[in-house]
Amino acid sequence: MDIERLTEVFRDTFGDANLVLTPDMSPKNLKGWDSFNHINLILSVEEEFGVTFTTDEIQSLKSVAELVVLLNNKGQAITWQ
Amino acid sequence: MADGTQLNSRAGQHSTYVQTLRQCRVIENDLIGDVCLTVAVGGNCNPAFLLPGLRLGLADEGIAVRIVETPYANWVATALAPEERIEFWVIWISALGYSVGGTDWRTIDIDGVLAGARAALDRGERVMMILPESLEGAGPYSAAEKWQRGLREQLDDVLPKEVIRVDPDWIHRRCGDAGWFAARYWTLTKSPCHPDAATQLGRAVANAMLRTLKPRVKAVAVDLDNTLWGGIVGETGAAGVALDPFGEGRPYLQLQRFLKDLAAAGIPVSVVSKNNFDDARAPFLERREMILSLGDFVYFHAGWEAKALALRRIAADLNIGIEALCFLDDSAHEREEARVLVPGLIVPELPADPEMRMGFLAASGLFWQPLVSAADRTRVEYYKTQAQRESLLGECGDVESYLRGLGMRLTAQRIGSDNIQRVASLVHKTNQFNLTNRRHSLAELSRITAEQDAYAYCYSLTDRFGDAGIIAVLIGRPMATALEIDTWLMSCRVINRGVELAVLDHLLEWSSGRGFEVLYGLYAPSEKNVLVAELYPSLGFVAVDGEGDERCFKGHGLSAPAHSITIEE
Repeated sequence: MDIERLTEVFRDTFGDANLVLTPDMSPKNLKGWDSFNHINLILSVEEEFGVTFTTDEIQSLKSVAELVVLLNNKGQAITWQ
Repeated sequence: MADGTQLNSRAGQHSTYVQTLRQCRVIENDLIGDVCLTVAVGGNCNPAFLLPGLRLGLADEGIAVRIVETPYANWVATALAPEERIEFWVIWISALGYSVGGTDWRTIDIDGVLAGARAALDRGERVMMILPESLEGAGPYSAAEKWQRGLREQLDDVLPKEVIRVDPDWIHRRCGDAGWFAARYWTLTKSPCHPDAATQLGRAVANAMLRTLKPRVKAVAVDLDNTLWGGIVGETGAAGVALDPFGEGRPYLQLQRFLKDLAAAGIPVSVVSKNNFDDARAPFLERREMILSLGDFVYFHAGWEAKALALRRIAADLNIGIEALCFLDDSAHEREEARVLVPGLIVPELPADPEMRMGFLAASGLFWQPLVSAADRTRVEYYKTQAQRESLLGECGDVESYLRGLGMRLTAQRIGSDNIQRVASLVHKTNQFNLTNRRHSLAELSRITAEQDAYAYCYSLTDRFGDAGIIAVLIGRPMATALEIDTWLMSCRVINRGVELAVLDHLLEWSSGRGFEVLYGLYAPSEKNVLVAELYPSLGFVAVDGEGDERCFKGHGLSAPAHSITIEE
């Protein structure tokens, strides 16, 4: 599976149809990625991929690269294409 | 805008928070320029997850919303000195928010809450409060449970009655513990429940808000048979309908209680029934179990024409829009006919199982009345004095095209061993559309229908709603070159759809093929069959002699009647 599904979730959450994911994308450099949208993002990812994150995982998550690793660890074979 | 149908199809169907958020993004642009409410939200927790459900619930009725956020746990300051005009306050008084994160119990500043609420009410703003929720881990008899209950009762006692209470446990019960409790959202965002549950709570808040601004339902029209009692009074008589509160009458009585309470709160209730007038009234007069009495209704309409006529007249006489009239009927046919002929009418899809109906109506949110005024309580009496309880007549939509749209097919079957049990049952119990009331026994029926040159048919009806089964019987016996109609009856479920015309059509074709030139029709009046007193004249038969009460009509040279039914054999 490639990165497109995750890209769609981001585009939806942040209301930007042209958003392109990069591994270093983070709350620091993406406009709108505040603490509340962080939860919205997590909820959308959980719903899209059918996974659940722990409170710890949600709090320590700092970048798209880390999110991909987390999803990989939960059996979602996402690769950068 | 939601019409009745959409609203009904949504009842009981719950989107997740994420889905609702997505829908909100889609509708946001559609509502610009429409009615817009300014709603301030706050509380001692984070109410953000309420908002998509709140927005969508309001958008369903064409209302946009502008949210004014108040500082976390400090809404009172804003309420005391707002910078702008607020129409609604939605304040979530969370038990978790008053506790030390759910770990220890505090006493709360009731005076502050009260001051904030009063300030808003004094400016004429509406105030809604979500009362303290049950806590996770607060088991039965625990100190935590006691604290939460006490908190809630205390608030409920001291808050002015104009404050609209919203009980979060409505939604908690619907979601279950697994759907409601989600401690991680408290830890992460200070939301007292799961975002999906908060979304449903937001929809409930929206509904309470809408119902405060404008009742969705301003009047109810209700069917009788199988809606207010079990069974068909025209068939069994008043003594035979199900009204046992400890048995199968229970759900019907529950609906009666519900309607009686609605009437007391200012929503007039009327009867619209396909029945003989006296039959329809009989259970009210003769059955002591009845909760509703005739005096509870503003209009009492019982007749045989399409209900659309009466429904339109009720709305007109009460001076309400048709979109504020709600029609409750157990029959899918009646509901569909009413929807087609009276566009805009609210027609909830009452579940077929009567036990499911009250829960369905409660969940629909149609009848919520967050604030009931003294004027509401006297309104029904006013309507009653204005109303003239007479049969309703008036303009109506196009019945013909509705009937054509049903795609009705009538299958004529010769009466024989396959169907004679059902025929005997119809012959025994049909009262209203029954020309002669001859209650032939099964043995007599077998003998008559075995006669070679007798016309002995029963008919089953299907349409796009399904198969109604065998619904009519006609037996004609030969007398030289004439055929005498010994029995003609039809189930009251299919009255007023032209089925009798299709039956006559079939009979005429059969008779002409066998050289019967004349038909004789008999009408034997009974207490119940006044419906068909003029059937033969209306079909072109001419009155000839009769014996005693029985009247005889002669049909000669009749042409096939026009109807909307395909006949098969």
